[in-house]
Amino acid sequence: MAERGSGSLRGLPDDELALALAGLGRVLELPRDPGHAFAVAVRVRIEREDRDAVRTPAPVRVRRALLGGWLDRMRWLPPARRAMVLAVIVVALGAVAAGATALGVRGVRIIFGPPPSASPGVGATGAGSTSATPQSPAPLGSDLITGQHVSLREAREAVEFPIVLAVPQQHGFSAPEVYLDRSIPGGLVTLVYQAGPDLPAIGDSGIGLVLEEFEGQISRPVIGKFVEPPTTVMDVSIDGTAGFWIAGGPHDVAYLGPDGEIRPNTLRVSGNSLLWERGEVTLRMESMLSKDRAVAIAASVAPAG
Amino acid sequence: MEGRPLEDDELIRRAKDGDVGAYEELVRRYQGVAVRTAYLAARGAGDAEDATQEAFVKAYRALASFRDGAPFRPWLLRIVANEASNRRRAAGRRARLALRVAASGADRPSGDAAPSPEGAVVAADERDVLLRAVNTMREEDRLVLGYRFFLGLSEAETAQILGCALGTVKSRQARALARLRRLLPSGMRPETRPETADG
Repeated sequence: MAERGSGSLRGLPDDELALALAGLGRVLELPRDPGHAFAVAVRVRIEREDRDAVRTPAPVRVRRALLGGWLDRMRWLPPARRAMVLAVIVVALGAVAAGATALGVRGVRIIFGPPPSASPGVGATGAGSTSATPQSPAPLGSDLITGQHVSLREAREAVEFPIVLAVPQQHGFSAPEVYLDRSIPGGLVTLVYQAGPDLPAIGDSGIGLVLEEFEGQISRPVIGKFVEPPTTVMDVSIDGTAGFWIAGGPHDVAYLGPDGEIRPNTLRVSGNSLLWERGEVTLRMESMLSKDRAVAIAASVAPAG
Repeated sequence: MEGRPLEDDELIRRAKDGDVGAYEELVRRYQGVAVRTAYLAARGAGDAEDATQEAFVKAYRALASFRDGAPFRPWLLRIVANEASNRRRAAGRRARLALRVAASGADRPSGDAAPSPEGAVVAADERDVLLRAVNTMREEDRLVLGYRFFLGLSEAETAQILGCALGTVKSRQARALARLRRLLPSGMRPETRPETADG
């Protein structure tokens, strides 16, 4: 179409007024496409409703909560609220390849909404199949963390990715307890730091910080996180890498099997979490720290040894 | 307009058979225009994404009633629009959506929800005048113009979403444009130009 000559909008014929409206539409403040997570959320919600409809027992047993009281409160959410799941998810996006880094961290699924119904009475039973070493006293986190208690060297030898540590000297941490879950492809390494003067404890666990590390895979989420108000998910940048800060309330975290289902005995309540990627490795840090401090620690992690 | 109707058909067939993953792909394909539809239908009240998600779930449950071979988008968007307007009514809100120009003032990237490609770039002064007029229009008029020109939906799609005959949309659109024209000041010198004018 050639440029219109002079004349008022009022004098435009319908087709040109329609064009002007279409041009206006291009710059209007309308909601953006909600992104990859939205479609996944719809799918998850449908699947969850289908599961609820047939009343199959949820394949979930709740481990002792790091933040015990919150779990009970979540369990007794009104049914209507449970049903009204705003399930949004970020799936193992293969984020970089898909250009969707802002939406996800590889290997992590974030679900806005309550987790599948938990079986009452199992909230304080501790770990299931995974356990600490038989020697006593039990190492910090042995009843909470998935995998076997190992030495840092054992963990290093067992996984191909470089394990990083929150720098103890810089942040006043003690050396962490190390756990290795070999059932996760590539291995899941969890470092557990004891609470201290500068590291508030998560609940009454005695744990100040948990750092999980695994090779995030494009096609398969490993960790699922269930988030609902007032918990919020915020984009953060860690040394220029996109990540998520999940805070504001308790949220559940679980480990997912190859089919995306929650693996038994792995659902528990989590505190503030930071999710980010470092090379091929996905990291999840859990603590009661502020966002700024958590990000600072995340930015300073360094290879072990 | 539908983009890949054959693929839609296949996805719908699978979704009807219970393949939620196929439905997820359909959601991804239409979620952008759906959330914008919800926004217009709800007059900005409430969360358009919430309403859209609810509508997508309801649409999945209603897939059995979807006629094979029919265009999916308007069928879906009608559910979305109904959900959004029902929520607005249930909330007792009589909110009036005040459309605004995005802060950047820049065109959105083209996508499934982009207005018709022939949509012209509008000069800022003309745009503001037009927007003010649109914002004073009654809701029924604004909705038909919004669906048609802001979301780039066809007359047939708009008819299906509004639940009326194609002829009704044509006449409503004509009347809305006439009323819009009367709301515009005279004497403006529009500088509307086609997108390719610089090229």
